[in-house]
Order: sequence, then C-alpha cells, then structure tokens
Amino acid sequence: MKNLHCLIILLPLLFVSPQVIKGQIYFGMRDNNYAYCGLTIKNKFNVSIEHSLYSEKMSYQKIRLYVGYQQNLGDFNLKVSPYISSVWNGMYKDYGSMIDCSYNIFDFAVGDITFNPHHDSGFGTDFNYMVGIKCKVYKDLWITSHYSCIPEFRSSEKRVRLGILISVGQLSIEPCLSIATEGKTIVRSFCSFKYNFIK
Amino acid sequence: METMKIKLYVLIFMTLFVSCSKEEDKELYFIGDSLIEKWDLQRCFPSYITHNNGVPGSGIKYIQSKAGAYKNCSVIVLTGTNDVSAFKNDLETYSDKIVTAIYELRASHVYIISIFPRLKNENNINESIKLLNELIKKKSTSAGMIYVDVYDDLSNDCCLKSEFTMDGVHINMQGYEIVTNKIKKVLR
Repeated sequence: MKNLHCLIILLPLLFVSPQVIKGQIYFGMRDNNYAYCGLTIKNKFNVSIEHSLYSEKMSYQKIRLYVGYQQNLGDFNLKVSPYISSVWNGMYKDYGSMIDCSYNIFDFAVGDITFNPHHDSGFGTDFNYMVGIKCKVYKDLWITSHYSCIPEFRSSEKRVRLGILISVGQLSIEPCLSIATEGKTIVRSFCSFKYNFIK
Repeated sequence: METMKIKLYVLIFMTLFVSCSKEEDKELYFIGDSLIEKWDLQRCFPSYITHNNGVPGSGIKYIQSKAGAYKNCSVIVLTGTNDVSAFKNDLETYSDKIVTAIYELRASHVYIISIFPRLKNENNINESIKLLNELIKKKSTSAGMIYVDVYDDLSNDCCLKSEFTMDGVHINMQGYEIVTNKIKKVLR
C-alpha cells in the first residue's frame, strides 16, 4: 500500500515536458553525505533528487525527492519543499516538508528559520526546526551560525552549526562544524557545496 | 524523442523506487563504557535506529545492573577495558562473569566486540587483554553470541596503532570506521 502511495506521488513526473529543462540546473553535496541535483523553473518551482553517500551497501542508501516552491517578497524569502524518501531496501521511509523563511536584516546579515515537520516510519512524527543567522564578513565570504534539531542522519539531535560560506561565481561552498548541545558531545565536520550549472 | 527519453528515465526511477524489497527496520542498542559513549553511532549506522547506552568508566557492574533490560533487542556490547587491570590475576573468573552478565541482558541478538589494545603496553596490559579476549570469544560463541574480533585490525604487533588514537585508550573516527565495518558484516 505504501508503495502505491509512492507511485501516486511520483506519477506526475511522467508528464514532465522537456521545456522545463530550460530552467536552472544545479547540483551539489549536502553535509558530505548527500549528493543532489535539481532544477529550478522560473525562479519559483523546484524539483530535486538527493542520494546518500553513506559508507554502506547500495541497499542501505537513501534516496529523497523534493518538490518545492519559493517566493521572494522584497527582503523576505519563503521556500516550501515537501519531500519523500526511502532506503533502497525499503527498511524505512520518511516524508515531510522544509518550510524555510529568511529575512535580509541588513545588507550584511540574513536571519533564517526553517520548520521541518517530519515523519519517519521508525521514529514517528517530529516537528523539527533550525534557526540562525549568516553575516557577510568580506565580499562573498559569510559566517554562518545555526541552532538546529533537523536530523543530520536519521534521528533528531539538538546541535549548533558554525561555518563559513564562500561564493565564487556559480559555486558556493560551506564547510561547517556541528556540535551536539546535549548528551554526548560529538563534533562532526561537514562540507557542503552547490553549483548552478545553467544561469 | 527527447520526451520519450525523459519519461523512460522517470519510469526507471519510479520502478526502482517502488519495487524495492521490504526489509524490517533495525534497532540497535550499544552498551558498554566510554568507547561506546564516544562512538558517533548516527554517522556510522545512518540507516539504523541506534541507542547509545555507553557509560564512561563503567565495567562489569554496569552490565550486571542491566539484567533483563534488553529483552528481544539487538545488543552490541563493548566492555572490559576498565576492569582488566583489577582482574588481571583472575581472568578466567572475570570472563565467566562478563559472559554471564551479557547473557542476562536477555537480548535476542548479541554482538560482543573484542576489547581494544592500548597504545602503551604498561605492565603487559595488552597480553592480559589478548588473553581475556580469547576467553570471552570461547565462552560467548558457545553461548550463541556473535564475537566481533577487531583486536588485530587495531593493533600492530603488540599495541594500539598510533594513527587510531589521541590518548592511547580511546579510538578516533578512523578506528571507529574499522569497528563499524566489522559489525556491519555480521549484523542480521
């Protein structure tokens, strides 16, 4: 039955017209562990596929599909991205949505908050969030600071993420440290990048 | 032609996505000392539901205190390094105690990880660890537990390889990756 739900959700993709390829294509990597590529159409609609790069067998890798919508309202930006994902062997599935609101506080500072209602077939439903700020230090160099409980892997953890964001042309790179704020103080180092292929 | 290609790709993706075989969600409980506590389980076992029940400085008494607490669970145990000096002269009795304590957890699947070597072989501690590991291996496998031997993977001829440790006792991410891969091979 769950497979049927997936089929229904994915069925509209069959009717994708080749004209949409004229949008902006991008690819990248999130937190060392997830490679993605996607397409933004008219700066509003967005479809992307993300695949895990865990040091696991293929059957334990995860694939996630995002379908999103974004809107710029002056200094305020809103992006809503529902997603559905599954491990290839069907061990677990999850679905939810990333609701991201950002606001340009000054020319050199952007505040953002992300709400993430998330359902995991093993953990149940969680309401996660991330709140933070990024500040311009020099030209295309920003420092970022976030407090987050959005899962980096599978279960939710409260963590502080500190990083730098460098943008060079169509490429942006963000190395960061993720530090647990409760329980075991495990520090993770991550690097993310994104490249906009066609402008 | 282009439309057909895109639709074909999408169809292949959908078929793969929905036709995947259904495997049961796996929940793993890790119990032991600081070597468990410092293990980034989410990073090493990203597809599983993991519980880190490691307590720094703990030994046999901690395992004994958990008797019956893991009924029908899959448990991975790594303990002994904090007790080995105290029981150095009676490893036979200690290995009996440790295997009994693990058995009393009443878990459905038990995986025992061998005690890691130390960087400094003070008072021939690594010989004691090696001997204790042998005893635990013999007794645990005959009790139906799965013994995961990582001692040789982490050691050179006598001691813990320096590239796997910062302080001589605890291992780093590189060391944990070796242990993780060993466990993944035997997980069921």
